[in-house]
Amino acid sequence: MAVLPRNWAIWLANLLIPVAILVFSSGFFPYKPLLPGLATFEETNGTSRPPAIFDKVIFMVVDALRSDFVFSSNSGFAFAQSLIRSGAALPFTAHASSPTVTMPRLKAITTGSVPSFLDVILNIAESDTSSTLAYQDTWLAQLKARDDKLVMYGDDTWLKLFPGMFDRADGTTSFFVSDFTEVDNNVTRHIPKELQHSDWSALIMHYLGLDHIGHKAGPKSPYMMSKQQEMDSIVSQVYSAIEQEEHLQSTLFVLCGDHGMNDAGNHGGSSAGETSAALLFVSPKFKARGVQKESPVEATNELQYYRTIEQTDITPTLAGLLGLPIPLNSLGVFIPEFLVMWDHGFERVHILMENAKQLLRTIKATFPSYTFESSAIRSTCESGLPTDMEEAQCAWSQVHELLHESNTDEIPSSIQAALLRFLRISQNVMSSTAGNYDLQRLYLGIFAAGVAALLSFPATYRLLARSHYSGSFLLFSIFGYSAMMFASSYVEEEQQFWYWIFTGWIFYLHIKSNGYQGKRVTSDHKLKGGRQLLSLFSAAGTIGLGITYRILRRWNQTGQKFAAEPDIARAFFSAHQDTLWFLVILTYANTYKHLLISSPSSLVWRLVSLFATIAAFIFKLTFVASDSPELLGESFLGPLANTVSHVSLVLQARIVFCGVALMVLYAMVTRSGTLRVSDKHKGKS
Amino acid sequence: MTSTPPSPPHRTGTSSSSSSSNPTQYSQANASAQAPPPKPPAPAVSILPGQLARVYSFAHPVLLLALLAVRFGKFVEDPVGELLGDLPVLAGLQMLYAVLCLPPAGAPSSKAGGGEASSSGEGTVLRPGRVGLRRKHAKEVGISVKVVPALIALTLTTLLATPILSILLVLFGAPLTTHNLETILCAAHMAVLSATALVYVHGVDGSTWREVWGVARPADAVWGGALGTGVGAWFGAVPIPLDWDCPWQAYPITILTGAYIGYAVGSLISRSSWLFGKRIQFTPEVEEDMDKKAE
Repeated sequence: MAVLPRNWAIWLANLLIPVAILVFSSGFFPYKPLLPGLATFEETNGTSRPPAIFDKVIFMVVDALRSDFVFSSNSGFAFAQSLIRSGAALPFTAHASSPTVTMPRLKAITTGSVPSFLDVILNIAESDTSSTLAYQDTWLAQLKARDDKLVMYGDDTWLKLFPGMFDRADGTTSFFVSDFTEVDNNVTRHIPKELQHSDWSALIMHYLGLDHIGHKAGPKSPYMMSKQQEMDSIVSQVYSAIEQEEHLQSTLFVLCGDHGMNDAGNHGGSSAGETSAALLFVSPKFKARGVQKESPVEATNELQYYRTIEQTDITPTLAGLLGLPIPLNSLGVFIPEFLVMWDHGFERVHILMENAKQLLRTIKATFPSYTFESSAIRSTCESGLPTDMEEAQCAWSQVHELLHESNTDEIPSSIQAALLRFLRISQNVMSSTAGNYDLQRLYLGIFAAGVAALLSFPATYRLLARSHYSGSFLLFSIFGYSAMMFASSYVEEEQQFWYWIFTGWIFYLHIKSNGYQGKRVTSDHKLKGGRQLLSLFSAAGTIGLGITYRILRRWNQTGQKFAAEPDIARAFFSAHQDTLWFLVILTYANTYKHLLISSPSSLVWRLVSLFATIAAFIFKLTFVASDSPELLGESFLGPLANTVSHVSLVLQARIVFCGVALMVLYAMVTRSGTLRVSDKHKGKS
Repeated sequence: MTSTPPSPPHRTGTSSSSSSSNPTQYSQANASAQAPPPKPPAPAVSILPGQLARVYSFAHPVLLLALLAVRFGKFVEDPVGELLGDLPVLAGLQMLYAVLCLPPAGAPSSKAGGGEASSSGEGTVLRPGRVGLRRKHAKEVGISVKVVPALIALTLTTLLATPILSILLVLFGAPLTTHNLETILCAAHMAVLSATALVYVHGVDGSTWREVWGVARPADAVWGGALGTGVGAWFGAVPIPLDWDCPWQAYPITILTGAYIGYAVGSLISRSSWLFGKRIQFTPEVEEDMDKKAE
């Protein structure tokens, strides 16, 4: 009867855990209010708006274009670098905040807002309509509202984000990661034609090939340089068109990466490589403003070239340069380097002022309790150390003071500085609200999880106490694992913890199984021989386990820090293809063997499973031939792969599935037959 | 952690059918209830009596840590060169420690119950130690005679323990295709730390070394130091994956630092009165299982 309350506690703990997770995540994924509708220009009282500098934009996104791919001395972008030297291109490192995957990054670039972690989930569920930006304020929507035409070529994520936005479009999919050339040629082939057209005011190109190379072979891949040169030739093609074509003479050309990549060529996290994307604003008009920079240059910090800006800053900058209202939810700051494009001081202040007012509106929507009336906040500014919000209030009041002091005719540059200060502070405040968690719910969730853990403690303790050392080892692993969560690098390198703890476990197993421990008190001579042999076997077993573990550990390098180091799968097998294919054949043969064992007597079964196994193997061969040809080229299966590669992959996959379906069908028929027979037998007896 | 006597015979007898799936452990549990062993391995080793031995036995681990601390900068800069340069120093210190503080193999003073254990078959190598004991009163001869087993211990350590530890290091995750020199030197340092004193004290007594391999030795300064070396090296691997980008996070440095610290801690705490002579015994879990099944 003493069992009953303990079971009751376990039940309650199991119920509490999902509740705790739900409560915690409701606090951890905050709902951020988005301002609906499109931004419009405020009614200007008398003063005219500063003129738009450009009327068209060519927006070229190269997926995973890390800053050093363009700016370092080891770059294929020779022409782009010559543009930087001539002053026709303004280079920046654009900081792409985590999650560094394409969809949230495009959101940041177009809306100027900071996507939350929820967007990562939406990025996976890309077909989900809730992730579209069709009803959000973006610079594309602003162009569309002006009745301008937009065209798009490249990654079809744009088409999913902006359904119905583009007048002409050709989407490419990033499903075939091994495709380095076709996916980009499908974009490039449209360019000469579109550069002749004069009807569009935004041409968007999104190249995927460089990202594919990164995923497939990493940033140091031999394909990388030629791909960079290919991208550079497109920059050159577009730039010369801007210089020569009459209708393109007032066109802004933007080259940017949506995110970077780490040393393994992957992205999604927040390491320096992943967050540092290249950004280049190109136009012959910049030449006159004297902004020549050196190129190539050395990175100041890790991958930080020139000045680092936020990726969200692209939105207000584009809006300002194109003469558009800044999208409502933008958290960007107009890049001050472009203020020189306007001749007069009041125009520059106007641009910044618009940006400031727009940011202020988003702040007021998010923090309704704070006031920005100049009379109310002047006192807080003078007292002590302010919080972030108070700092923003203070900066805003300074802007007001300076505006009041100066005449409307001549505007001192100190206003510019004050405005920029206010903009940067508000950007920080607003960006951190993207991670504005509901602390009470977080505490409540943690509390519920803690209660669940406490409830399960007595039962767990009894279980652990029963298995002394194994139990203590389990406890040690659990505590080590939870301690690991406090080190961000161990969160990224979780496998290292398991590698490490597993070596300890193997050692423990070895000690326990080798029998030396009990030997001290052994006297039973009859049992001794057999025991020694057994303990020898088990000792050899643990050593074998240790060796295979060591091989597996090196099979694939994972994580961040050591991801670029050589491993068996990439370094060894590409040089020893026959070994690889021998192992593959062995695996398929083993599968076949197991299939045979399950129903050994039937000839039909043997034939069907042999057929299915061979079909599956040939499918594997063809898939590798098309996906990773470098693993097949020199192996003994190369000629075979060549002959079967004429059959399309889809057909082969269908054949395999047919084989499997046949096997399932056959098994069902024969099994039910034998069951019926045995039932009959039972009935008779 | 000495093993408790297992469940009474009549009880194990009734549940023998349920435990037959695990014959090894069952027989082990059964056997452990039987008579005392015929040939016991060496018991725990005490530090030699005498002022100098006592003082130096405490100073020695501290001295090793101080050596590590002083040379740490150089060690980070040039691991291979520094490890190579420090190896003779470490070997000398370990020999000094053994000669000053520890009883050599075969000395009756080191064996409370069964001094004849190592003298029967394997003692030939270590005969000088026995000779020295006969002339214990002549001090200068005694020391020179103690140096010889220390030298032999060092040779055995270099020849046997270093390769074994190198293999263990690789199995525990050390790189195999690169850093080979580092691995071997790291193993050499760990071997000199752990095995020199063990060989000096126990010779090549088979049953004792089986206990060493089974982590079943009673705690004393020598065994504590050896076990501490291994455990410390294992824990030394923890900081390597952290993203601090410190130069000392490179491969052999943290491992060997952990080993040194583990040696010092292990050798100091395991001679304390509340640990001395106790064993780590991974008791077979089968007893508990059988108890549960019998319920």
